[in-house]
Amino acid sequence: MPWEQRGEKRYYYHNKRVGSRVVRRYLGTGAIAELAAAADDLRRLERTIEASARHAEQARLQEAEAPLLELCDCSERLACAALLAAGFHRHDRSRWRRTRGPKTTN
Amino acid sequence: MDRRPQTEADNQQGQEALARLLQRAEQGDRDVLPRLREALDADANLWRYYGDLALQAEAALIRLAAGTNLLLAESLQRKLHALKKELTSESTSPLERLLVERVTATWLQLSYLDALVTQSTGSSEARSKMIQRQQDAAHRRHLTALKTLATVRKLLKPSPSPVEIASRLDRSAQTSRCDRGAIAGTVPAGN
Repeated sequence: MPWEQRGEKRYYYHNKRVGSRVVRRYLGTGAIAELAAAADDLRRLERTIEASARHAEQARLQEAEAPLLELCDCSERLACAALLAAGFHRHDRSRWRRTRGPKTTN
Repeated sequence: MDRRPQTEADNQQGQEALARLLQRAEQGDRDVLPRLREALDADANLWRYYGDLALQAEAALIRLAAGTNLLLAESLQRKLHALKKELTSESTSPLERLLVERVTATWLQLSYLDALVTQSTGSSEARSKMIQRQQDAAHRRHLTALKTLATVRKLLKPSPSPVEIASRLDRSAQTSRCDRGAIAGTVPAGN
């Protein structure tokens, strides 16, 4: 919690992660601390609004591209089927090559 | 009687059967090749289903790019139509048509994301990164679509039969004789 109550007074601290540990910095008490807390709240709110807008935009993009992804998937599969049916093959996603006929033994 | 769910179920079953055949063919089972050819040639529903899918993909992307701007939506539709016309001819096979539709749809998505990246210069780092990631994926998707179309066009182009080559040669010989005759006919007798 950023506010710490000791006796009658409240003290405002700012917690910040530096590398692997959290550093706690004293910011003040009284009106200055209230102002710092309000500024922190505002920044947090801005970040939340921005994240939700970003998530909404991402969802919109994903929704629009869903049929395209299905089209890409299906058409790739059909192209593979047509190439295999025409007598081509490919090994381990390399280039398509014409499949040799079955070996004949004399 | 409701036909639609049955058609969708048929399509689903067709898809699964094709996927199974494809898997066996990829594993080197040559016995499935005749059935694979049959499935590709005979099933008209298959091509209709993929055509609908391409239209859906196109409509969703146009809605995303144009929003409520009807003029932009119409312009995009015309541009896609022109692109498709440029990339196809009368002799284009249904598979090639489908691949062309895929190329135009991926082109539209990439163009939209390119524009979005340009517009997002002032936005937050997280949003810029998100759009950049989408643009990279769209770029890869477009290149794959082009590569598949090029491969299919190169490898599945029907090679002309000897009879066809001979008849073509015969036709061209006849044409050149006619041309010579026509030229001779236009030259004044005095020359």
